[in-house]
Amino acid sequence: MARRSGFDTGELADAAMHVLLALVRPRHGYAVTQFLEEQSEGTIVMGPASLYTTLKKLSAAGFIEELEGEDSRRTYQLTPAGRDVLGRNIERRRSLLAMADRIMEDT
Amino acid sequence: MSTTSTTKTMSAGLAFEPEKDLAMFAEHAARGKHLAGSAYLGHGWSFVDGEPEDVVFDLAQQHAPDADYLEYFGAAGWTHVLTMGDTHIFKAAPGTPPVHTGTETRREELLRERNRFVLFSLVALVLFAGAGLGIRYVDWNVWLEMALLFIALLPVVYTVLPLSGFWYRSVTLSRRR
Repeated sequence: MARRSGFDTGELADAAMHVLLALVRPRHGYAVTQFLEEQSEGTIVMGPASLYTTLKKLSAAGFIEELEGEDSRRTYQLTPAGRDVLGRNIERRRSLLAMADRIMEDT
Repeated sequence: MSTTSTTKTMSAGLAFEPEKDLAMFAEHAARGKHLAGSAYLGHGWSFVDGEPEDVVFDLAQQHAPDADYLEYFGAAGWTHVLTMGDTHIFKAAPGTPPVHTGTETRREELLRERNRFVLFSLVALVLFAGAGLGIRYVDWNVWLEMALLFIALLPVVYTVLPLSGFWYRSVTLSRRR
């Protein structure tokens, strides 16, 4: 049986989560990369092929949508489903970090 | 009067070992020979003379990309060099972050190509089997039979070989995850 992707299960990989975080406010595709680089002080750098694919998959999953506008470049924003899945993924990582802290304190 | 010289080089096979071709493009560019297109019926590359250039090359596979696709690459420092089918080749200054982040999106591209070539290979194999049955049950001139077999074999070679390349590379990348 084929393995279900994180876009189906809602358990997103880091790249998809980074893009969702950047789209908390509407942005052009490439502005997503610039925003992430600035916010992460250069530690998150997303290649253009990965950015394009991730945007397409998030859009197909219904987590982001294109904004209507006169600009020829596509502007994306989170959908309610995208905001929900982003919240759940932040919570999941928070739990993981809490568990990691407990384990490290015990050793 | 200046003349533009063209050089042709055999490909190592983009489906099997793209790294070899990408490194060769960079070596040629450093000697002032710039990738211009394919040669030898898709088995090689052609280069035109120009100023030496210190660049690296990378590729991505995307079917029918929209206008944003090349814009993202341009904004990230990658210049589009050429497109062959769904394969897009880019160049950039050394040190530019790669076009793929991690292995996941590259693996997905390879799986998409693999799935397309599964279909192409099946069609080619059915045609080849049809030609074989024709030869088996119809009494034709031997040269006509040989020609028919050769013509029917070509699509098999040009679909099954890339299929095995994409398959092998996608499996290799999956193991690295």
